[in-house]
Amino acid sequence: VKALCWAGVNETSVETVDDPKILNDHDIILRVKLSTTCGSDLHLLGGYIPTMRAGDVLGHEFMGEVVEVGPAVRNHQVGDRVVVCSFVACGQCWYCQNQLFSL
Amino acid sequence: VSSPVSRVTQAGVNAAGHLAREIQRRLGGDATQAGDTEPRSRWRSVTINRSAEEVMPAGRVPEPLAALGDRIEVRVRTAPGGKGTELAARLRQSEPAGLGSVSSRVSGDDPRQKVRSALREAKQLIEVGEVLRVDPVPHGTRTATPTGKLVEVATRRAGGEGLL
Repeated sequence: VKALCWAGVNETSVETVDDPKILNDHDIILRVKLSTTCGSDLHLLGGYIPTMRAGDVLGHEFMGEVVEVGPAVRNHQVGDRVVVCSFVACGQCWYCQNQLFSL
Repeated sequence: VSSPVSRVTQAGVNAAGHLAREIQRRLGGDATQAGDTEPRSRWRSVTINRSAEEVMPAGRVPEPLAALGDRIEVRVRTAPGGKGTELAARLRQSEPAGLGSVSSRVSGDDPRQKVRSALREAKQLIEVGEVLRVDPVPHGTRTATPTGKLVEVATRRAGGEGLL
């Protein structure tokens, strides 16, 4: 697939990268239709995040179409159009169950 | 008679020595309890959003902590604030110290790292039912740089005592 990659401070490039794979039972693979730039992308782009490496794929606020689902996915199926929340939440810990998802 | 400067210096040295002992005591934990001469590491714990019975059904130590067998002691107690259960473990050996401590952390063969990752994985398995994998992620062209190497090493090692 094609991806927008960070190539260095204030440098990006569109590259062909390996296709993503389902790694966990709850994973979904999406064909991204639209993505946007977040304020935090500016920190990544400017090289302020020490663990950022050249080649890292940018874009964490996006929407698209489901093309593959893991065996434990119940709420979505292939073909669904979805918007992705950039916070990953487990749904099971004390914070999630008290609706403090970003903790 | 010591000069004011040397007295201040001496006070500083004493304070630094006290601080170092205090840090050592805290890092070393309650390894030297009265009546217990066997060395122990300090307790490490995670809070799990489940009852004690769900964390250790019939007193069984959860996986993958159970795989550490007799090398560790495990305890559970109710977490404050209605947050579930605290699951804690400590090694039946003293806390590695000095240079050996640093080298075992860097080499990735460190008993403390085994305890910490087993505790985190036990929490994930009990609460969510799986240990989330994030690697490998697709990426574009990488150039080999010294800082990139450092990040790679840190990422490989970080799993033992935290996540990067």
